Amino acid sequence: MIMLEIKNLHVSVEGKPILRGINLTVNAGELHAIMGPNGSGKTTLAQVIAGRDMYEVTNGEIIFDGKNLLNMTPEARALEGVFMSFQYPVVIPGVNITYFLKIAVNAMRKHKGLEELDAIDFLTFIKEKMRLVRMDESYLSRSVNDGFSGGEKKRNEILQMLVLEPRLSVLDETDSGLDIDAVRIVANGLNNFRSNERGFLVITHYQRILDYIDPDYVHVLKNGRIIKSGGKNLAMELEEKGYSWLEEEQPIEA
Amino acid sequence: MNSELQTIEKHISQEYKYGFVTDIDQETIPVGLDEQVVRLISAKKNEPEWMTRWRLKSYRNWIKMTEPTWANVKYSRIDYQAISYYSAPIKDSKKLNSIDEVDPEILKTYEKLGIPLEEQKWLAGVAVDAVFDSVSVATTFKEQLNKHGVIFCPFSEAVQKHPELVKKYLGSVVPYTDNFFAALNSAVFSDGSFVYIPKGVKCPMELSTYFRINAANTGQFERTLIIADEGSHVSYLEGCTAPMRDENQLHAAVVELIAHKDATIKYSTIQNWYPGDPKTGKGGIFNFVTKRGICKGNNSKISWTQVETGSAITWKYPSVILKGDHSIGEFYSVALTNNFQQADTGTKMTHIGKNTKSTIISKGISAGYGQNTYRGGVKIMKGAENARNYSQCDSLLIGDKCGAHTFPYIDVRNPTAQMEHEASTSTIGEDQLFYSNQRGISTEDAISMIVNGFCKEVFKELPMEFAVEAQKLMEISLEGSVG
Amino acid sequence: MLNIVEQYADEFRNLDNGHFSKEPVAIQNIRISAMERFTELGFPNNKIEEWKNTNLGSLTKTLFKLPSGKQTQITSETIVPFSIEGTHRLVILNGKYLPELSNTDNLLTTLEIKNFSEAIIDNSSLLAPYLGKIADYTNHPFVALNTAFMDDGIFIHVPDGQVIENPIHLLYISSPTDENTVFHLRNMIIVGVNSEITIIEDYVGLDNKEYFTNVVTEMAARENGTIHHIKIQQESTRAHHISNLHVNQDNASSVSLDSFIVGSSITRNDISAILNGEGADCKMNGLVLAKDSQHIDNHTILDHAKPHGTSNELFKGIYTDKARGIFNGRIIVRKNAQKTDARQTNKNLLLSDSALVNSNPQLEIYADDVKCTHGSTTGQLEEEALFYLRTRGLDIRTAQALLLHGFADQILNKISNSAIKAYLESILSNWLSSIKT
Repeated sequence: MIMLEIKNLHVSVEGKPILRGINLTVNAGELHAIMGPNGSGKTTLAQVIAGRDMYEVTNGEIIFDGKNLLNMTPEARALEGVFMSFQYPVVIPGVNITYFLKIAVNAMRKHKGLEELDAIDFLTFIKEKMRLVRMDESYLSRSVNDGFSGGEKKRNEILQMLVLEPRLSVLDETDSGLDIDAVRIVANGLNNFRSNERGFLVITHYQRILDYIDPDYVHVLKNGRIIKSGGKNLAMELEEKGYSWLEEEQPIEA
Repeated sequence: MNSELQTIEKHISQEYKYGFVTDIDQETIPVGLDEQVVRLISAKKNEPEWMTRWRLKSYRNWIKMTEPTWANVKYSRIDYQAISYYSAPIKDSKKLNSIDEVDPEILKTYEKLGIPLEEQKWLAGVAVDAVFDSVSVATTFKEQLNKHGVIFCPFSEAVQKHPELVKKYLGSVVPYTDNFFAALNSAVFSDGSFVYIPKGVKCPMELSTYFRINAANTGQFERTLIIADEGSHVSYLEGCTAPMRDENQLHAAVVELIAHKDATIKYSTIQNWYPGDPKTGKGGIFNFVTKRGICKGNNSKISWTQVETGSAITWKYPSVILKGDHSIGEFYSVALTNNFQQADTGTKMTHIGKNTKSTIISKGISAGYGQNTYRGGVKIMKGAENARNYSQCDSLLIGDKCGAHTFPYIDVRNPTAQMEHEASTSTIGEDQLFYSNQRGISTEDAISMIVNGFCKEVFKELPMEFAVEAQKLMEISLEGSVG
Repeated sequence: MLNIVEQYADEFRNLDNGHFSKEPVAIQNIRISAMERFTELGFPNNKIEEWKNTNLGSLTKTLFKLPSGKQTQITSETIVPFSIEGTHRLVILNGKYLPELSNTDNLLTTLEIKNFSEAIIDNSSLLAPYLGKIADYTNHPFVALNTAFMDDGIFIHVPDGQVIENPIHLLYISSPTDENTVFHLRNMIIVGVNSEITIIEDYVGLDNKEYFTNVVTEMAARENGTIHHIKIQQESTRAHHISNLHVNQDNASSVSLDSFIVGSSITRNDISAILNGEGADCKMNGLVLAKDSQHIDNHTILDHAKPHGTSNELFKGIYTDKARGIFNGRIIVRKNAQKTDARQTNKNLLLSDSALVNSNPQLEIYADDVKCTHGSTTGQLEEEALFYLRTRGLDIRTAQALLLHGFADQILNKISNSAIKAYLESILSNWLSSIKT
């Protein structure tokens, strides 16, 4: 079943083209890895899917569950089940994580026509998720990403994914800046969350995380285009040879 | 500018909702200030001679002083001869025996401000003194308070009825020599509230004063004096609003608090004077206030909480002199400067007694072109063994045209002191909003969540009834239609 | 008679001409310009802001000599108290590496590790971008002096994509045969892309001679690399310990620098991290335990040069008797280092009226969208807490030790490796039982 369909997507920032015709289909149950050198457009792709308005879509469309995402506000996309893990999670001073997630979870539940969770049910629910990413309960009283190390912020993103239970998760370099223990924790959280109903776009700069999460497809993004697609072996090849051996002139439709 | 920043700007450029003028007959004396004017004010209040003499001494001192310039605020020179120093509704210049005699226009005014003066309409736990320009127009629940021996009345009434208390304490914390604005106030103050809580009494209800400036070209110079005798306890709250006018108006008040042994005074302010035109910065109140309390006896406590959202310029430093051993001073403040507002505010904690403790939590929010300065002093005197201070000073910047400044002064003269300070500056921008949106939270919810999150340590110090009001006030200043 | 600075310059010239001749010319030139810089700078004095609270005393009045060729004899028994389970240990006695007491097992198959003096010849091109650049010898007289004489020390290079699971314990033992010996130790640690390593630099003094350790450690964490660095300073009571630890961080690298300081008569630590890549993270922690008339001066810098960096610094100190402490913590946020989140906390406990600490946090912020906080406290043990414990039947000494343990544990708990933590716990316990109450 098709979940996400990106067709001929062209995106510019301040008149400068960044994405130059992306075509990509993600079916429910699939995990796609997108790799590419710095400046290839990986973060732009993630942010456009989530609805950041500093990017101008000049052509193409993004269809999620048959709906045109490009017409929706970021919060509407989130409520439809699109989650993005930020490369650089944002600090929200003074707002504690419990409160923040409770508002988000209840907005989600209201959207689905479910009853809002009360404080006690919510705490039980979130503590269980925290154990999965080995986050101490003391985080619950801290402000969102405030004073977190780079690694703690990334784990907090995975926690939010587990709590909000999105259908499509776009992870933007969630594995960078992590030591090996943290990579394992993040991969573990992700693996437990995989199911036939969920789709994943894992954007990464390094092959290392793919040792732990087993992607169905690997795509190489360069200069705003997907220039090669393949299976897990492609990632290993990239690790060995780098990106330069791929000829940019042969765009491959994925 | 992208749309999210525009949304923030829209949120923070709400109109001032209390800017109407009450149309009643008022008696306003001609502008200008000299000894005659001081005597005239005193005569209008029918004051005893000792009071008149004190005013004149203050005036003579004031004319020798110069206006302070050290604060981080900019304004054009104030012409003290262009201000009228007394204005009162005509009907109220004589003594009133009950609320029924208050001019219905004034009752309507307070109703519109959300402060109904009829006792049955008001929250059962709060007594109100309503000050309209230069006079107190009504004080509620006086009888009930009398039963407990609590005195809560207009200052002018206290001068008549309780001269021994006024004589003893007036100027004992803020002498008329203290500073330029305090001296001016001491010469021309017109009304304000007087509170005395007798020994061992826990005041049965919240006391509150609502200040309203109505007349044009006048200044408001109120004086508040609160005395908590041994083992007593009182919580007091003031609120303030003013009409929208193109010219600046001066508000120079003095507040003195005296806490005896084992007594506690909690003083809260919700200040929402007219801040001036949001687009041009024209008009608005100059809020130059001297507030100070003394913890005179052992184990006494004074706690200041302020939510400052109004005024064109705010200049105030509610302070505590910690004289008694084991006494406690606290200062919790939220100051919001939006558009062209400026604030230079903070506190001074002077530790004299042993084992004294002070806490300072200051939250500054700057938006638009607003400039927000925290100025705080902590002084540990030589004999203040084991004094402790905790200071936390956080600034939040909304947009990129505003500013936040921090000037902490620390002077420690005793090596056993424990000092702890924290400071932070953060910015709210499109990043925080997009991040919240991505988690399914709307922009409007995100802004109120962030602002309330930032202020919550201060709001929780307000009496419960007013915590809600303060939160609403912040939301009024920061909420609007999204689009 | 020549002054001490000139005597050092003389020493440098008198070193057997053949001594450095095998080295690449570039390195020899660095030595010469470092020596020139040292003679220009001279020893620091109190008029220089960076040194205003530290009087170096005999360090500037005595010529400390390079170690003589004679070596002290130690056995495996000697190092038993300093062994940490599960680590690879390298023993360096008076500057010289002792392979027979070291245990490098299979390390050499995954990384390069050798004497610094060999590395500057064998690995000169790998070293070139870092050597003398991470630790700036143009501003710091002791870095200059070290750079002129650098010879002993350890070089470690972790190639790309290698995670070294077992910590490496560099055990520097000082037991000089002569009084007034100086060790100019130089360490260089380069951690490749996606690699990870834990290093313990441990300085131990065995007897009561006066000596001078002048160590410079340069580290580079390349993209997405991780370094856990733990420095333990337990020099003998008459030692002078001047240390420079500097790290350069590339994109998404993550570095922790933990310092534990109990030894020496005078210590000056300069610790800095430059977050020179996007999204770099640095944690800097320190614990000072000082008594008698020890003088411990820590100068730290967290320099945020690129966006999205995070740093968290917590330095604590316990001072008793006439001990003197200085904490000078600088956070720099450069103009384009937007979205930086930097925190610094300094907490000091004074156990006697004669102990003294100067705490001086400095924030220099040139970017406008950043979050920086700093906090600082100096005080005594809480009377009330002590009293509370005594009402529960604890004697005053036990109660005090309990509270001090709690204070120090906040730093020890930052160490995730349990063997290293246990080693530090025992140093802490020994120290606590050694102080007067």
